[in-house]
Amino acid sequence: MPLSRDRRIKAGIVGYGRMGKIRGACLGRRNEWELIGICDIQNHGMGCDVPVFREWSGLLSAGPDAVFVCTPNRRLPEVVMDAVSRGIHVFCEKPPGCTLEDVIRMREAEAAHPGVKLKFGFNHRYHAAVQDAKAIVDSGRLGRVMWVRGIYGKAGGSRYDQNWRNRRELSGGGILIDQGIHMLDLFRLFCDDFEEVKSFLTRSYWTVEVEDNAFVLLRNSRGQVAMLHSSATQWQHRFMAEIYLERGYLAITGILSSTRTYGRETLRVARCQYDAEGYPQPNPEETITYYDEDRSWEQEIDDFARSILEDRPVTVGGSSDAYQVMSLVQQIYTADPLGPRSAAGELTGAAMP
Amino acid sequence: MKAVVLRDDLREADIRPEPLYAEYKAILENESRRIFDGSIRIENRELLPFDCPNCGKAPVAEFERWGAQYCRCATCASLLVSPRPGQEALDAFRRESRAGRFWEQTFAAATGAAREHGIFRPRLQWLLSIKDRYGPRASVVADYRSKYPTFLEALCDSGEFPQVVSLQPEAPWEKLPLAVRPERRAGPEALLHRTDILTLFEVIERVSNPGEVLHLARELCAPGGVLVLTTTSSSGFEYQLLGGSAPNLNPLDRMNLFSIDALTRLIGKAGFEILELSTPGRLDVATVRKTLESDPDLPGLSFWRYFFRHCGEDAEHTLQEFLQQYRLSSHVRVVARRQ
Ligand SMILES: [Zn+2]
Repeated sequence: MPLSRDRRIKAGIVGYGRMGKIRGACLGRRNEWELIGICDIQNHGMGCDVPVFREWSGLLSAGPDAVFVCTPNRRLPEVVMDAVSRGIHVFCEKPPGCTLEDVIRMREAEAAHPGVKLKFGFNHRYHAAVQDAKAIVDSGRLGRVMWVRGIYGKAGGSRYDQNWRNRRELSGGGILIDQGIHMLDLFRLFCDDFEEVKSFLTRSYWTVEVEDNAFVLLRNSRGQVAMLHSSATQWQHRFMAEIYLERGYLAITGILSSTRTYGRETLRVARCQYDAEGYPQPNPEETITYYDEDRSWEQEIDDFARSILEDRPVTVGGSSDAYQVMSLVQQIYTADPLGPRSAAGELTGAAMP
Repeated sequence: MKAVVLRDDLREADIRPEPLYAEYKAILENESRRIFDGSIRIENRELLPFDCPNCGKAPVAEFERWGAQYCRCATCASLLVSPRPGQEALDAFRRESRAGRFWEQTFAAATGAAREHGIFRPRLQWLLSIKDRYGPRASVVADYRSKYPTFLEALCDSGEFPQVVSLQPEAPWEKLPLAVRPERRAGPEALLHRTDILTLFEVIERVSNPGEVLHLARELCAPGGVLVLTTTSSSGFEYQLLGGSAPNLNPLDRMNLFSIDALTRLIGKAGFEILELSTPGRLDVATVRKTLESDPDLPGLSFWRYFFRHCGEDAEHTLQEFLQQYRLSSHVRVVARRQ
């Protein structure tokens, strides 16, 4: 049921950890939204000026128009399905559950309630460098995309080996499903879907039950190849996405985050320069764009608000995007028989100093 | 907001070759002195005091250049010529200017290829990327106070914009070496609220009332239309270091050197949201080096003399790129959307 345009969207947040707080702060900055309650089993919401519920069903019964589901991966699907079945619009953090099966179940609930908007938090598509890069690729001036290459890595983090994200039953996988999934989503933005999947998954350092590094090769029917390295042993935080086209290239390095540890968000663009015989010369002139502010959170939420208020389909991070990217994740996990999903793949756990 | 850095091979010697540039400057200096001391007779040539359009306050005298008084706004640090002639007087002067003629007939002809490669080609690429990003369906592009008919023609030839219009040229068409075709000429009233992309290349530094021009820009733009401008800023390396000794400071063409802050606020006040504000200049460092080499008595720049003597070409490139990255070059470009 579309809301009347002159009233604010009543929102609840389920799971008030780091992501829940980011979403909450963002809602507070937007006029379209009114936060009416949160749900957190660990009482993270103490001190909030809205009601705090221990059970999500309590929050869902309090009459929100939309909920932001920011729980650990394992809990996401049941909260999403409950909300959707009550006709509540849902914004669900990535990854969309632990398995492809989770996405399928959420999509079934969505299909049964066609008026409900379901959006997933593939936030990187809203970064300015990514949007600029997309406009350049779509203009066709540099020709067809030949290949893309992405590196997304972090140094694990504080108490990384004890984090729920590395417990397969709660998270569904390791660094790939947690962080690498963003890069897979960007690969899809620039190349659409991939059919062939090859991968190496390793536990190179951390004593965890899931992969701490994923090396992935993808190819689609148009011959476009994508190469991903997703790492939890990248001691220097790193984000890099390169898109090489027939007549030039784009490279995004750094991505603005709340901690700013991935470096200044930068887009380098070059068009090939040719010698007298028409061969591309190395190191062409570049235009480099530096981005000062991260408005991706606001834009993502504004987009969601528009979908709700104007009853428009979710075009970025819809359940079809979620399905396709989780399908890739699943294929990557099954493509390496020696990966951490198989007992044969056990590597020696890391020695902490 | 974002800032853009250009990494290419533009060189000052290519676009301002000596001794031609010195000759041009000598003619210009002579004319400038005569305008400001009143010995050139043009209508309405009365010089009027000028308040900072950003802050509304009278700026404070800082130095004299070619007969003109440059003043600094104590609030926003913009550098403004005051008193100054009105727009009519400036236009009348430009119609007859010897320096203008020299520029068009001799200088532009000698540097045409270098300017085409180093300035107009990247400018065209820039406009196309603006179209791709902010106005894929843009059809009307208008260039206000067009100075470079060849660029306008190149824009047309790109086939990307159904309607390319020149609004109110800098000099009468017949005086330009390569006039824009009549069907591409118009007065501002023809494009009110209709312009998808409005370009102001090197305009706001040379008009008598820049605030008025930005107001007109808003009137010309369609809702959501995009304003594209380039100008010179007092916040840049060249002007911060050299002040009144900056070799390219010509009071008739650089009457308003806004600071980056002032420019940001002026454009905002005119009703635009800034999408990009960059200083992609490639010449500040070379200009400062050349000036220090030619004037060993300029005071207070010993660090920079050391830098140029000891650090070499790589360091100069790195410095110029750093200036671009942090909006510290004197050449500014802005993309803004009409709100
Ligand atoms: Zn001022």
